[in-house]
Amino acid sequence: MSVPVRLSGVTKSYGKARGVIDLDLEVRAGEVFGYLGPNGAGKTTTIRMLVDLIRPQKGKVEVLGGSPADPAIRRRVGYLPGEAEFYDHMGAGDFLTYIGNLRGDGGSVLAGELSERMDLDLSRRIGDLSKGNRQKLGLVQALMHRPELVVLDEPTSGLDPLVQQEVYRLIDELKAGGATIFFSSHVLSEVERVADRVGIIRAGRLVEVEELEALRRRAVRTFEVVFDDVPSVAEFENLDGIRSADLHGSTLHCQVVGSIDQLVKALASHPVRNLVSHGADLEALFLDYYRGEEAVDAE
Amino acid sequence: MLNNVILKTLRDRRRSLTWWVVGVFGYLLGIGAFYPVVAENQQQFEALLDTYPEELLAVMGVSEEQSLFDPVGFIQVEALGWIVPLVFAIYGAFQGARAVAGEEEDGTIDLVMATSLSRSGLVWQKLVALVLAEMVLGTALFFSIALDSVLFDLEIPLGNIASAALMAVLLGVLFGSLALAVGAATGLRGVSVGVVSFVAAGSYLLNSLGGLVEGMKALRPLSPFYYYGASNPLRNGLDIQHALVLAGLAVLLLGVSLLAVRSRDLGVGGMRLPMPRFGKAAG
Repeated sequence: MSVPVRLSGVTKSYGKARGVIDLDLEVRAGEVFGYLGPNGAGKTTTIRMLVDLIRPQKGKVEVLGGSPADPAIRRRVGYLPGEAEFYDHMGAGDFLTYIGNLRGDGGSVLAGELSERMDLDLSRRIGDLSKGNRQKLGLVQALMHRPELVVLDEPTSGLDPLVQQEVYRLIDELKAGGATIFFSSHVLSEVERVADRVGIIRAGRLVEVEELEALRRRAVRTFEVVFDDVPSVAEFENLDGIRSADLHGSTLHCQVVGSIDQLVKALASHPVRNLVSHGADLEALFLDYYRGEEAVDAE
Repeated sequence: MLNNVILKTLRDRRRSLTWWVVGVFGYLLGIGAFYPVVAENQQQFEALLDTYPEELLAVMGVSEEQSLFDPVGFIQVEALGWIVPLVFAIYGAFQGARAVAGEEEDGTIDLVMATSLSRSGLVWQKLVALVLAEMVLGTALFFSIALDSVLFDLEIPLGNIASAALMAVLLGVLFGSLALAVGAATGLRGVSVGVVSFVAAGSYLLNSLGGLVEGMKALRPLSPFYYYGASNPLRNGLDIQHALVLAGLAVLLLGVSLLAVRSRDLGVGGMRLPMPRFGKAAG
């Protein structure tokens, strides 16, 4: 089976600090790949190259084993732009018919089913649809032909939480059906919810590609420990994996990266009244990556 | 009506095209109704025209070969000389500019081109839609002159009316393909309309005033309006060579459009990208 998405040394620059630089990226068949980065990092530039709307200045873009410039390849791809624009004067259903015809496969049966699930009224004029409903229409046109590769640029932006959940369910189902999903987001929680693997892009460069599980292992966990005695903070702050430790009276707040073994052993030498763990917090990890971005931005 | 880009484009244009057709009929019937008045008062009108400078008459399309006082000459000067070609050219320019550049500026090209439609497919289908729309206008022109001929006893041969209408269609298609080509090369609708307006106005003046200046006469064949009207199709019937020049130029411009759109980044997404800034909502 061919690699759904392969970018080799891809550069597409729009001048200073825009576009992408020397991007190498491979998306595996059947996975949900979350493409995470702040706005302007190069997510949309990457995605638009995957459907041949724009072309790299350097490097090679391969999609489903071929070039996205090949219409036969694009027929097997579903694409939702970040800000999808439609023909406002058309009916939503008519628009789906048109797109289906351009792909040469109609796709109307699934269009109706998907619209119903997302509670989208196809008889409405597109110009009269709310932002959320336009987003739903964009999703339906991207998914209605059962694409092998689904490319979604910020798919849940503008959707209310209930519909967001429906989108996550759809992504799960697409994955279960064997499709590969490449989606971008600047919202960490949604990447955590649906992605198998994550690529983090910052200022046009891919800074990390990692299994979500591995990222979680590297993520920061926060512990709140209440002692019956008053230990010294020095006992904890220099342990392996401890990122920060603060002691207020007999309550210790500490952040741990990776293994908590050292912390547990150190705690064992004190009478512990209560222990609360705040789970893996990827947010802190991503903020680390983003901080570099803000520095670039501030220049 | 949604099977392909051609039908979808015509479907989108059906309302505005209807009004253009109404306009053509309205203008031509009005002009036709005015002819008997002019014919009855030929002497007064001739006296009036004598006071006009030669250049103005040339721009109006009146010349030694083209009298205002026979039915064909009257229709020629009052309609086919300037209003009709401009209407066909302007319609073509706007449709041509919208064809690719308009879809790009509206952002609708993203979803359309992410399907299995090829870029060349988009361009040639848009051009076919343009040709068909111009043919609808041309048909309206044919029937409105024919109706004039019947209602006001102008006795113009139908074949000549058809020839005049065909030339108008070809001229409109030519300017439409120019607009399409500029739009396909730049992705900018305004630039496309601007370039076509400039070329149309310049070549119109070159053709009409070129006849007056000895040195410029040789330049008239550079103007599309020369091929459109110099053979006087309403009086003399179709000049195949002139028709082929217009059609050939349009085909050439189609080739330019196809080449221009093939290697270019589509849409204005690149320009629209928000500046890098973390923490703001998706723009």
